[in-house]
Amino acid sequence: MKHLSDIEIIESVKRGNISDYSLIVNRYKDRAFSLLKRLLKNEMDAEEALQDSFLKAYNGLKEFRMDAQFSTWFYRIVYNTGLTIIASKKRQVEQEMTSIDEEIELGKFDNEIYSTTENVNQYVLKMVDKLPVRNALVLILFYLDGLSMSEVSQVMGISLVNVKVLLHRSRNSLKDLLLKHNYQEEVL
Amino acid sequence: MKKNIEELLNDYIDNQLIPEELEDVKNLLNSDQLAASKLRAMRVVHQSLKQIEPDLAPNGFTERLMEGLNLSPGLSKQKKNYFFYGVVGFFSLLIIGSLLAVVFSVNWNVGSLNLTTYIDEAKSGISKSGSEAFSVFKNKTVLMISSSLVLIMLILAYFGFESHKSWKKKINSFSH
Repeated sequence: MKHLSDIEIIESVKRGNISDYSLIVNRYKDRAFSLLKRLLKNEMDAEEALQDSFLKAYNGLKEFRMDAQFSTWFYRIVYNTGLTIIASKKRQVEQEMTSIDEEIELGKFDNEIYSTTENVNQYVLKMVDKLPVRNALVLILFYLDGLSMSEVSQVMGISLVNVKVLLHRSRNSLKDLLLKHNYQEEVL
Repeated sequence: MKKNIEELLNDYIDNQLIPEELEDVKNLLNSDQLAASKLRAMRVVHQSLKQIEPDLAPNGFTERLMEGLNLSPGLSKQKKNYFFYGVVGFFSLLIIGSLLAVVFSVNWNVGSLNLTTYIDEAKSGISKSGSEAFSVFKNKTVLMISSSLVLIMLILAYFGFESHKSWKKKINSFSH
């Protein structure tokens, strides 16, 4: 069953094979959890949001257009569920509604992370967690979930230009840190 | 507008340069050590980001979720439009009630089989029972309470309908 596409699985679930929904859950739970953990900065909230997201998606399957991309549709539900939890906990928006123009200040974390990481991969990945939430989410959706920039813009409800700005700024900040530590010469 | 070096390098990494820009970048990389160094660093970032591993969802998550779904297998079915069934039921009861009123109001012992007689009997019966039923609304308090209830029901129905409509619209927008 594992080779089935998302659409084939959904068709099966719609025909009444509820247990097939577990294939979708297993396929997306870790990546959605990664997204939610970065958005909510809290494992328990992330788990709650993850559960809500899968339930909402299950209940919305009837409305899902089969010619659409399931992953984009689902990640949008995940993202909106995360935002709803933030709003409900009144941990408002200092985190994720910050302006696109927010300064990226990785310098204050640099020494600590540089001294505790063993290689450039670890260093870069730890720095991703220190990026402003929106920047980190764009990187996660683009690299981990493999969404295109256009799909990221649909998921996050922001323009394609802003996705590009967030992606470029994040990479530029990380690149500047690598240059500072001369990592690019070590690796290549 | 001409792109700066950072934009060019990002677009280079994403294979989004047009041929002229690609040529510019190649020339730049050959002539500018700093630009070449930046590109190397950018490539390292790109490669490292490709290796992001997902955080694992909590143990037993799928089982717990599926258990929840199986306990209420008709989650989506529960979202049936009860408003529609309510309206149909209300009108059905109204029709049945009217028919019963007709049946009981007609004097079946009338000797003549003339249809107009039955219709006249039914008309007078309905108007009589109708006026009896509505006589209760002559009481001002009852009239006020029932008017308020009707108003509240109409408002609730409106908001119910609107929220259902916006929810449906939202779900549809996800699939676009």
